[in-house]
Amino acid sequence: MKSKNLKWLLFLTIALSGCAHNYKNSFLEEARKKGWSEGQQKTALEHSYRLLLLEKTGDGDYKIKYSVLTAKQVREKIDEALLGVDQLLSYKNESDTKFVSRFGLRKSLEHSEQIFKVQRDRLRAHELYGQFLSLTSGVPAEYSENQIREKITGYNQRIFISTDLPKAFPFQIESIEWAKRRGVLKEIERGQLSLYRKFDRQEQNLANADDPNDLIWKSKLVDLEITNYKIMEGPDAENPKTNSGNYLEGYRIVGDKKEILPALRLFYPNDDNPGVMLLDLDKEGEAGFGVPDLIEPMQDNLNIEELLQENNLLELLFKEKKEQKRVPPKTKALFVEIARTKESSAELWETAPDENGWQVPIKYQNELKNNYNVSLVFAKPERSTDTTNGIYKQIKYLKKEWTAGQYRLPSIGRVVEYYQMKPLYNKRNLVQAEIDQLNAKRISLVFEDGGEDGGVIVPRSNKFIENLPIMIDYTEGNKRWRIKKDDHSKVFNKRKEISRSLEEKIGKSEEE
Amino acid sequence: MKSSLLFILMMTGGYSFAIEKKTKELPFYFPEGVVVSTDPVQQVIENSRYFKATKSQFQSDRNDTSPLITGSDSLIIETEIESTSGASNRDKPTKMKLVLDHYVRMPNNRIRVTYLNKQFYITEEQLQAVIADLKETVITARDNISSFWSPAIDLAIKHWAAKLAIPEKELLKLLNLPAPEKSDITIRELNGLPRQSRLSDFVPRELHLGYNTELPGGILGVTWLNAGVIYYNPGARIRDYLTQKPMVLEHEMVHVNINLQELLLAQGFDPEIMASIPEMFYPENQIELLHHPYTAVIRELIHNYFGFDYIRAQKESFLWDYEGSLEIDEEKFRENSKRWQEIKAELLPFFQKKVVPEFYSNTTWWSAMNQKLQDKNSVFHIVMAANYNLTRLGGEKETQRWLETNENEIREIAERAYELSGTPLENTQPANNRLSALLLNEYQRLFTEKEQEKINIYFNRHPEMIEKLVEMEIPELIKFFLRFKTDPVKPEEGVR
Repeated sequence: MKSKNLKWLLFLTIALSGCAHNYKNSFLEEARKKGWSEGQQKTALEHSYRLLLLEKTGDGDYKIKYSVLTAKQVREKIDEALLGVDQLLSYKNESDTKFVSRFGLRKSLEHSEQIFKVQRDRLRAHELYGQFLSLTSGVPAEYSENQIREKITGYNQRIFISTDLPKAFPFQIESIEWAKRRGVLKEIERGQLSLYRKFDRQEQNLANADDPNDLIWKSKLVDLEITNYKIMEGPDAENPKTNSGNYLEGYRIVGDKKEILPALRLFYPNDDNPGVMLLDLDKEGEAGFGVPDLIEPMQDNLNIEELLQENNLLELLFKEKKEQKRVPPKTKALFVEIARTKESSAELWETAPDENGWQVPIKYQNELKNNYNVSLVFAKPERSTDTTNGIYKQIKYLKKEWTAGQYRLPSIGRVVEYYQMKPLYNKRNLVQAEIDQLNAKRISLVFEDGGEDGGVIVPRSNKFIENLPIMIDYTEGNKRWRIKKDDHSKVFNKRKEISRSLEEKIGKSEEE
Repeated sequence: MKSSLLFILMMTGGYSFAIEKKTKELPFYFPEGVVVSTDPVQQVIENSRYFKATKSQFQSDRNDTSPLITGSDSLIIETEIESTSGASNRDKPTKMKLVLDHYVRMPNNRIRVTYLNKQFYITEEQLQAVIADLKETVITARDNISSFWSPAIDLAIKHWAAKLAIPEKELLKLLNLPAPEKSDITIRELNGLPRQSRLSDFVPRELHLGYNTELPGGILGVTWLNAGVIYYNPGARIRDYLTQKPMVLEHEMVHVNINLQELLLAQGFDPEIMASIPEMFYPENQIELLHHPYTAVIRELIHNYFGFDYIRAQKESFLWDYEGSLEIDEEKFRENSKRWQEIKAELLPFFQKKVVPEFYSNTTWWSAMNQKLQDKNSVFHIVMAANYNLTRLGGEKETQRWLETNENEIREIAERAYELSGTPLENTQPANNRLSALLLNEYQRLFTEKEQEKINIYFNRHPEMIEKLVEMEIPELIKFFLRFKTDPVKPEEGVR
């Protein structure tokens, strides 16, 4: 075990072991304050386990009270175990990954993870069931705190034995069930909501997880059939005092098939108590289907129309579960390459795949093709050829910086076209070359001989620049590209990725 | 769970004495004059002699923990002993491989052996003697350990059936059913119950006779959970010979058994003390229960429940320390040994019939209770409390009287402590159980309760120091924590 890991473990062990109250230490500290001897303190400590955690049976034996722990406490322990197994399987920690790989443990650990998840879900159902009973007055009023713990909130040993979960956690209210059996639970309202949106949202294409730009459209389908029921009997059967329901259920419809159990249930057993809403977020066929995942008290008795306006109800019921995929980091093959500068032939540009060349995949020009401003790129003087000592300027490119219709507001893709100047204007003979601050298409030039020229860079052919750009920069997704024509090429035959920081040069003249 | 429980250490400890006895031809790496002894005095004395005599050969020096590379040229012997202990061979049995680390067959066909302090040739006969001895030891250890654990696991199912008030046969049928949520998970797995025990579950995929140089000091055995690999130090084999039963190997075999100590399950309890069952209770074993740091909690329970003040007993058996050469009162030592034997005779079946079955019938709940109490050994306290009355305060009667008199106060303190237990200390992150049980155990052994309390108080007052610990190098870290080490290491508590 390497010392680095040892350090982390030592740190975590010692630091974290000091991070929570420890029963034994807390007990002994208080026992010490009583003035008890060490023997008395430790005897009292051992005895305390009997007092807290055991109960005497009729025949003088002691048995363990498993219900002293709540389902929630046990579930929290499982949650921690899940974090631990994720740590091992996630590929984030090199030594964990190596250990798992070296001894072929991935499959067995993934299986353990699945077991923990099922355990967690059952414990969660247990917790929710306890809450449900509390909210629906399913807990007998005469129950003491111990009895509540014993029978409702406390850990139930049978929890992992059941093979019929809806039976193990009925989530029913007797008054509703009684009404059903007597045939007095009547339909009073019916509704169906269907929504299909083909291009609902974009998500990462998991088949190409390495490329953050590879996004695919995901569709949305919501199809929910809801029925509201009311207990109607006796003289109120045809003319009830209120029009509010007692029980509402909603079924997801998947394909053309209604799921066999409701995903949504609302209980309003009577007017004196708030209602309870249960949501089953698992679809038929998924683990956990048939057992609610969320429970919420409902102050108001809502009808179907009002219910469907609840903000995130549909989103919760129809949310697609993202499959957790742990992808091992891609490792490139090891290689050796010796690149001597004098012999270097590294080609940084990517050649176009066909004779059409590279194209800007974004529509950035308006109908009139005039949604641009211009700026200049000056050529740096070369010491070997410049006879002017750098006094005079030379325009290397004129940039058309395409906008979204407003001055200096970049277009989609922040497109910039580079134009070479026509021969009259591409010499190093300029004293001054500027873009008008008020008209970002107007250029004014002053030459070494004092002559002046200027004008507007119009969309059509003009005297200053070549008709077509020699180079274009654009941004797509997280990357910025430059496509360029070689001298002999009519199309943009090469491209390379450039830094996005170059976007910051939009609107500014520069030298290169 | 940082790197989780990748391995388990078996630290040596204690002293031993021996009675000379003629034995079969021993492996060449045994020092001369090694004997078998179960005498309480002689086993302890002899154990420390053999350890010291061979330490430089088999144990790393603290100043040199540089690693060795085993090399594909180390001899590997495929045995006929079936193994199903690891994740990869649990359902596909393999034959155990015996790897003799740094035993290399040279081009001249001679066998060269490397110790940590020298290198030399051995004969073919010597090699075969090593192999035969190890195979025999593995089979003996496997059979011993299985004879305890297999019935205990069967009882776990019985216990579970009784708790659920279901006939055992019905439960067994139920356990094989798939969980409705996921058909590749059985009800047995969902309940965290071990499978029916097999002999092969205790046999490692690979048994290395080798060294773990980065663990300096007294390392006898190291096991990688789920991996099916045991490292068995030659010094451990010598000790296992001395004690008549191969207890170090039996201990490691409990660790290596994925049915008992699956990696993730082992985060929720103390795997060291569990692996010390039953060897710490063997009548032949004069070392573990009395001296080893791992068994401190059991010693404390013995003191509280059976009244045996072992600390005083050990102090009274110790006559003088001649600066590292200890003189003991052998008569008192033997007298105390009788008391230990009485206790072990009581606890061995108790652990087999009650403690182990209770724990393994409900591992999920016990993990959660350990978390709540912040004590990975809660099963021992609670099952003892369910079966024995305390006697520490001068016998059962006096103790029960005192408890009855003070019961209300005890209950109040208990309820307050329980309420608080498991909750984060003020100004710190919530307790994270993702940590190595091994190092937590080591921490609890390195530092006494008073020292641990000082550390807790310190970090409570200076939570910013937790972040600074991350940046410290090992020597600085050790120096930092040694500030809290004020109580001396006592000889009766063994080598730490």
